[in-house]
Amino acid sequence: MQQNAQQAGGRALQGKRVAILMTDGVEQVEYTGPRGFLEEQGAQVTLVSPKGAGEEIQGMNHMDLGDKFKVEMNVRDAQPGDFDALVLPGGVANPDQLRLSAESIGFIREFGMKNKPIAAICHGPWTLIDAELVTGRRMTSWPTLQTDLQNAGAQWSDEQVVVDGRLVTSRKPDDIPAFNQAILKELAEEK
Amino acid sequence: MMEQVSNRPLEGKRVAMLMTDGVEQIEYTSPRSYLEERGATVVLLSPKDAGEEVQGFNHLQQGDRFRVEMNVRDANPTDFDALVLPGGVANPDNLRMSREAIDFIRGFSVEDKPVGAICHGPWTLIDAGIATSKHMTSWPSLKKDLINAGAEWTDDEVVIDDRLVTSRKPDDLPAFNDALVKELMLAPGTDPGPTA
Repeated sequence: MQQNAQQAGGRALQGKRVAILMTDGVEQVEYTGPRGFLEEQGAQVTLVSPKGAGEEIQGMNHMDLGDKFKVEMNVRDAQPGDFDALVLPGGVANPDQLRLSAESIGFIREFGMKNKPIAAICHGPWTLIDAELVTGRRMTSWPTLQTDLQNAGAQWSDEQVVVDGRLVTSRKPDDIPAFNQAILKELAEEK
Repeated sequence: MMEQVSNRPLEGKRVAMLMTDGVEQIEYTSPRSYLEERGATVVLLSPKDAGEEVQGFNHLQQGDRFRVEMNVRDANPTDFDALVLPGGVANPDNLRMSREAIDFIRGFSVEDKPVGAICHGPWTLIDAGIATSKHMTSWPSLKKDLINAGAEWTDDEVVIDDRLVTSRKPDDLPAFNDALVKELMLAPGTDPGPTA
């Protein structure tokens, strides 16, 4: 017990499983940044998508096409019970499409219902409106979502990271370091 | 009294199309040419400067570039008879960050002039305060945001409420374009009158 309790160094998330849910149009640094960080800390990260496993997702660097990323699990085959946390990257076209995927919205909602950490950055929080997880929550996002989140009942503020319960939100790629640290804290606290 | 049959029923009408990078290009080119064929003068407005280019998209693929004809900060709704807002997901998302663009859109509602918005275009209507208690449609991903903003949303190819014309997607362009022309014909000053 004393050996497992406090894993010093960079493997604080050994044994933790994190789902990153996304599709075409994802802002790629909001995928690669958290994934690289969480894996360095020992977590096992799975790219989940409404696309089939083995299909590719087109990443974007703002308005320019970026890299392609191979889907590791179709969201309809994914169980929130098999993961310790969910990360939702941004990129405007990505959440816009996820909102139309009933499986994706159901998957997100279940993390909220099970009170598991959800971390959403930039345009990522958009799907939380459809998953009905924003009412009464303190959160942030890319500024264009402010009115939509407020209309859905959120308390929006302009901060690099906002943590309310197990919900972690950030505004943009510049906030990724703070976003990653907040996810780490949520995951490390999980019993 | 006299029925004027004309191929150019929109002669003398000025239509603003407000957009920026990420516009779904068919939702710009189709209404523009439809309105111009009927005699309207169409002006491409943007938060970008006149002479700069707007990057069009065909869904997720980059398409053509379109030259901005007027910066929205230099434009006045009183100088136009109608406003058209094309979609393309990144386009309205960028416009929502532009206070001048949102104020310009609001101005058309204040002046009771026709506004047409298609696909993701209606997003900016939320910020402009125009969606409240309006019957409208849009690309389905916006449904929840429009309802939360007070709109009544239905899944129709075109919805007209007061002077607001909305459609869902490129396939709806024929119905959208027709509805825009009808609204422009209704606009004050279009009535040919007894001496026409």
